[in-house]
Amino acid sequence: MELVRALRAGEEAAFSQLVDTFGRSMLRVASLYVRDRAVAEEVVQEVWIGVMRGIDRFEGRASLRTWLFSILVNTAKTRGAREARSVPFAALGDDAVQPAVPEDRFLADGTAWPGHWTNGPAQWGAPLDRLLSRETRDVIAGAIDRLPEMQRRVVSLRDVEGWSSGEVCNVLEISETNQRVLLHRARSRLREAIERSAIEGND
Amino acid sequence: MSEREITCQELVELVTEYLDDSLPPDRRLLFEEHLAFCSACGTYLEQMRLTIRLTGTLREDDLDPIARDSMLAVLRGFAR
Amino acid sequence: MTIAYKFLRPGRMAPFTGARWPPAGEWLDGGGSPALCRCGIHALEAVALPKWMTEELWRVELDDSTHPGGGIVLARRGRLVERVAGWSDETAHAYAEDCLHHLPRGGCEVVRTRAADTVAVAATVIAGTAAAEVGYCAAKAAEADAPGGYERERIRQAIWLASRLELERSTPG
Repeated sequence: MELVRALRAGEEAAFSQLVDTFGRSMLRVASLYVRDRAVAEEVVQEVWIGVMRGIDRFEGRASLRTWLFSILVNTAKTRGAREARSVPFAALGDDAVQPAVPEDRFLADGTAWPGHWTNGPAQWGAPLDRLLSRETRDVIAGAIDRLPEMQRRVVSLRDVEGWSSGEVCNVLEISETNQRVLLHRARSRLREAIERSAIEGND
Repeated sequence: MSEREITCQELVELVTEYLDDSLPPDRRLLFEEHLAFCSACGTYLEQMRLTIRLTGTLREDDLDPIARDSMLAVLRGFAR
Repeated sequence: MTIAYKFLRPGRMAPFTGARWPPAGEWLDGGGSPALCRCGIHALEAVALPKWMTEELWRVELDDSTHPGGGIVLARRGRLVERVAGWSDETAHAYAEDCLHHLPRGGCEVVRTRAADTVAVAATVIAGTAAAEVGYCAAKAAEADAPGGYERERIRQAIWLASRLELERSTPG
């Protein structure tokens, strides 16, 4: 692979390409394991060093991307385990089972349509361009930040980084089913956060 | 399990599986049968799709120049 | 060859996948061995039409088809033949009015509430999801009135539609 060859040769352009292609994403993934931004950056720097030391031995059986991220996750996990002693237990756990939509939005038993929407979901009203904004991204980033740890990791890897369900299960060492449940809960919270912000924006 | 239909409340809990294409065929049929007449659930599904799409836009943020420079500095240590 | 039906969104869009069907006459391949809700072309027998209403109703021709039940026809490939001309906003409105006509009178409170919900929806019906909703409400009201009512009402709706649109029954080829 051309980039690997250029890295082995120590070419400046290859370094830029590496950083521009993967840097931002690596920082985000590191942040899933270590809360502190400065520590996340240190983790990524350690990975660059590890990658360059190992680049001659890289056989290219897996893609560069897969290799990079597996080093990253291992490094971040180790570092995160050290930091974790100061993280309160509650932040690592999952929340109590909460429905995707609050119960009171549906008609109760004994009415004409038990289980059906009373009034339907709120209309967001905002046109797509207004939603595709810095503001919405900040709302979502904030909401992701407030999620319980495992939900945060799953939704970040699946929906922010765009990893497949198989890749996420591998890296997080959880089953497909478990992964989907976490994703479901996370997405429900994000949808609510966007809804609140879209509705408030209409006033 | 043979239900003749699912309710809106049940549907919203199945949305993630549906979008992941992992609902068993008989459940998927019930899901789509419900969607066929329920515009409220149609709206919910669209909102969920939009949520996923908007979450993906977080990928667009660039690396800040200072972080970028320090990463390049580390890599340049390996220049030949 | 089998003739069956397909409801699509405007512009020949499949309602759930969003995929666009090719223009009439061109074959669409189902992508492998047909399996219910997994793979293959899915179409409808006339008996199932009330459950799936959208804006466009098409007659389709299917190759190598099976009938897994529930009014669904599965096939390896299919092509649109033509729009069923009679399916329009006007027809949808007439369909809704007819459902209203057939709502059980009196009966228990649950039934009356369901009937009231149907009335509210029927006033604004055009071809599309709203028409499907009326049919659903009417079938639920029928079930609340008497066990088995749901199925009977669905069949009644299908017969009304087939007659109004002058549909032939799906004919195995």
